[in-house]
Amino acid sequence: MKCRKCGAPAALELRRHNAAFCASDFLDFFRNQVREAIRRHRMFARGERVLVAVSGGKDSLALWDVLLDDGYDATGLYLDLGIFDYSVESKAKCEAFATARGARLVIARVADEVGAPVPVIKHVTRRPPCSGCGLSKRYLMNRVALEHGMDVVATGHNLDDEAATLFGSVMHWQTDALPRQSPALPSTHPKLVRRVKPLYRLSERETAAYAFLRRIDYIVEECPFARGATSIAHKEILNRMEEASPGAKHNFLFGFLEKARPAFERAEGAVLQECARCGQATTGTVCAFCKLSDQVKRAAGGGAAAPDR
Amino acid sequence: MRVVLRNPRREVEVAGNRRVKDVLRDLDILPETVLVIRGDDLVTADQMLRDDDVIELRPVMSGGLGGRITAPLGDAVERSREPSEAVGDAVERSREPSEAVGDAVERSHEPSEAVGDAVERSREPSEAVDDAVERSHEPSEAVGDAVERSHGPSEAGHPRSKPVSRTPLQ
Repeated sequence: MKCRKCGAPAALELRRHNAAFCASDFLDFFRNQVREAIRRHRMFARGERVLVAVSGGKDSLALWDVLLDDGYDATGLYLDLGIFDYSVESKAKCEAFATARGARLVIARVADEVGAPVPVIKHVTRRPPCSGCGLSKRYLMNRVALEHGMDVVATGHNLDDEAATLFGSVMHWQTDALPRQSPALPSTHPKLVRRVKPLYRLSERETAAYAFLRRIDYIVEECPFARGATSIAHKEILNRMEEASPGAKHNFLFGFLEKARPAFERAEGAVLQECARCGQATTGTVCAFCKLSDQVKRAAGGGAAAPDR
Repeated sequence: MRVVLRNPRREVEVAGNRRVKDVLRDLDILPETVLVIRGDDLVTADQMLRDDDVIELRPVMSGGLGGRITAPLGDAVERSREPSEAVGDAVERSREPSEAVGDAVERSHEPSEAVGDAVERSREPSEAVDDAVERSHEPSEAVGDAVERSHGPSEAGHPRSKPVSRTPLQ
C-alpha cells in the first residue's frame, strides 16, 4: 500500500476515504482536517483563549498538540474524577504533556466541587457512572472557563464519539438532544461559554494514529467504569457497519449535520436562566449539577457505604 | 508470532507469514478498532507479518461519553425505577403478525437503486483526500483566513487572490 500523496510506503489506510498515507502526509492530513473544522464552524480565532479539556487520552492530547503547534492560546483543563489508579495515571499523562510542551494546565477535582468523587456519585445515584461523570464534567468545564476568562471550551470528541451519540439519540428519539449535537455550540447565555469539537471530522482510529506517530504518551487503558457503557455498544454496532460499508459513520453524522439538524434546531425553544443556587445557566430553577451535589451530600450525611472498586 | 493485546494486557501466539488483515480476521478483530504496531511503526492491513514478529494491537475505542442527561437527574432516577408503560402493549403486539413484514419481504427481492452508485463511488478516492493533496502545496486555508481576518473587515468583503475549491468532506 502506497501513500496517495508521495508514493512512499503507507503507514495508515483510511478506507472511508479510499486512500492511504505515509506518516508525514497523514499528520498533514490530520492537521488540515482540524483546521477545516475550526474554519468551517468559526470555532475560534487567533488571540482567543481556548480551554482544552484533557483527559490524558489520545483524543484530547492530540487536539491540544495540534492547537499548540498551530500557535493557538490553548490552556489545558484536567478534571480529576477520582477514579482510583485510572485518574492518577491519566493526570500524570496530562501533567507530563503540559511540562514537555511548556503549556499551562488547570486542574480541578470533582470531589471538591460535588462533594465526592465519581465512584461515590455512581454509588449514591445508582445511575450509570457515565451520567454523573458527564454532567459534572460539562458543568465544571463551563465554570472553570468562566472563572479563567476563557473564550471557548474545546473537547476531543471525534467522529466516532459524535456518531455514537447521534445513534443513541436517534434510537431513543431524544429530539431535545438532537439540536445540541453540533461541532460548535454557541454561547446562548452570558454564563455559558461556547463549546467546540475540532476533531469531529476525524475517526478515533485516526486520532490514535496521530497520537502514536507524534509519540504522545497517552493513557491506553480505558476508564474502568466505561465497560458495558451503552455508548461503547453503539460504537461497536457502528464499527460493524463501517466494516461492511466504509464511510457509514461519516455519512450518518455528516448527513445529520447538513440535512436533519437544522429542522430540529428550529424546533428547539429552551430558555436559559441562572441557577438559583450557583448562578450557572440552566433550564430550570436549580441546575442538575446542584441537584446532583445535594443528592451526594445527603447520602454522605446518611452514611453512604464505600463504593465498589 | 507474538501478538500483544490490551485492556487487559495479554499476549497470544499466532502463526506468522500472513498478512495483517488475515491475522485480524482470525482473532475476530475489526481493523477499524485497532492500530497495528510493529516496533515504532504502524503496519497496514496488506503487509506481511513474519513468524518472529512481535506486534501490538492497540485498541482505539475510548468509551463512556459522559451520558446525555436531558432531564434533571432527580427525574431520571425516578423514571429508572418505574416499569415502562409500553411493556403491556409490546407483549400484546408480539402475538400479532406485523403488517410491515409482507412489504419488507417484497422489497428484499428488489435490487436497491443505490447499490450501483455506491459500488461506483467506492472505487473513487474521497474528495477530502484530493483536497488534502491539493492543500499540501498551499499554505493552510485556516492560516490564510486568520491572517486576512487579523488585517481588517470580514472575509466576505475580501475576494481571495486565488479561487479556492473547497469541497465538503463527504
